[in-house]
Amino acid sequence: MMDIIIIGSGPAGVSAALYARRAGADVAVVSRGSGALAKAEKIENYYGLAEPLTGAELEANGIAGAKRLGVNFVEGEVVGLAMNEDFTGLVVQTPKEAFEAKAVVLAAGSTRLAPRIPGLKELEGKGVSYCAICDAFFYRNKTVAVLGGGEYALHEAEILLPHAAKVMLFTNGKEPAVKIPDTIEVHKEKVTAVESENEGGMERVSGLRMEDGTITLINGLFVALGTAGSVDFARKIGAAVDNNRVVADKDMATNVPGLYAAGDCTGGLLQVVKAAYEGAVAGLAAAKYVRNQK
Amino acid sequence: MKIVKEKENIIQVTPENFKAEVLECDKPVLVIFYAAWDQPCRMQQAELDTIADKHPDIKVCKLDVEEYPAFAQQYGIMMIPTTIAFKDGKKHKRATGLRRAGVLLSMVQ
Repeated sequence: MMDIIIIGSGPAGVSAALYARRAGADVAVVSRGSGALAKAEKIENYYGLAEPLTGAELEANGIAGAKRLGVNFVEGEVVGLAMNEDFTGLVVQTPKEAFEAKAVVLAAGSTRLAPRIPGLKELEGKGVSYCAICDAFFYRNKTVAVLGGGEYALHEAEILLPHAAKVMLFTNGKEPAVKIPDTIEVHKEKVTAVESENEGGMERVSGLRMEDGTITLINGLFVALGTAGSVDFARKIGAAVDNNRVVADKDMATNVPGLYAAGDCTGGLLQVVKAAYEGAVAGLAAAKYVRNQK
Repeated sequence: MKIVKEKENIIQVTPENFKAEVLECDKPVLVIFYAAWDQPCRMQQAELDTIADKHPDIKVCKLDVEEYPAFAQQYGIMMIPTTIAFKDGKKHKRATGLRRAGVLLSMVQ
């Protein structure tokens, strides 16, 4: 089991890696590649820059510095986060492999808000879910839809397959980003509304209204758009989320033992300086936590 | 890593004792609909533990949805954890997903 896995290779994740590594921990950063920073055209409001750098340059410098100190970088899209079986560590899941660590730092940036599809927010907990592993068993022998079209959506759909009678993937107007097996029915049309029915005084999801006005009947909808962000992982493992932000204390610790969060996912200023500070605090706190487990 | 332990002051309810423990209780009641293996449910129970510890004026109960799926369905449970606040035998407020103790408290106060 590794000491610390950091999800995300932006300024928060890499700062966490630097501080944790220098505090003596074995550290790996798992990331699917560049994040929000790489898109910044010019950075000139960060300490120590005699001349402006592009976001991509700053990011590359950060990663190179962490590698020099012995931080291991693993390329892969994280699709799941859970406790291990005996609750002694956390398991970070990518489509190809699973990594186990004593502590994890969530630094995968902020999650885009769900699209404004009428009914999506209103029907949360009434057939709309954000966690297949938590809620799959409510849909035994029922028809379920997954909203999304990437690795994350496929991962959620595959969790649902053994439970549900039928699993459909709704890519909402996009081509699927991954190969979808034949056992999952793919719908590429845009979804315009989540429909509901009232059964015995309880409102429940009943279907998806498509752009052409037709309704596809479903019993449940799992939202897995794009790549999973820190907030998605927090929800799955039971870390508190408030207003689409991961809740962390002054040590950047969440309410889940061994789980820390840093950077854009905790809200506030979406700036490198804030991400770097929080990453440093989270890295030091995670390293201390790991030392206390030994 | 510390394992979240359930405290005895959260009362396990079943379809058989639900009426007596929840609907006929003269105090406000918070009921968590949970599954034993689910991590967010464990964390939610930890939040409810703090309420049970500090607020004797509020009764805290839990119902296993995997053991009693039909009963959970009667209350429209389709996501875990779901917490329902009961007042005077009636459903008062409902929260889906993990909520901090303060949010749950505000459902009964």
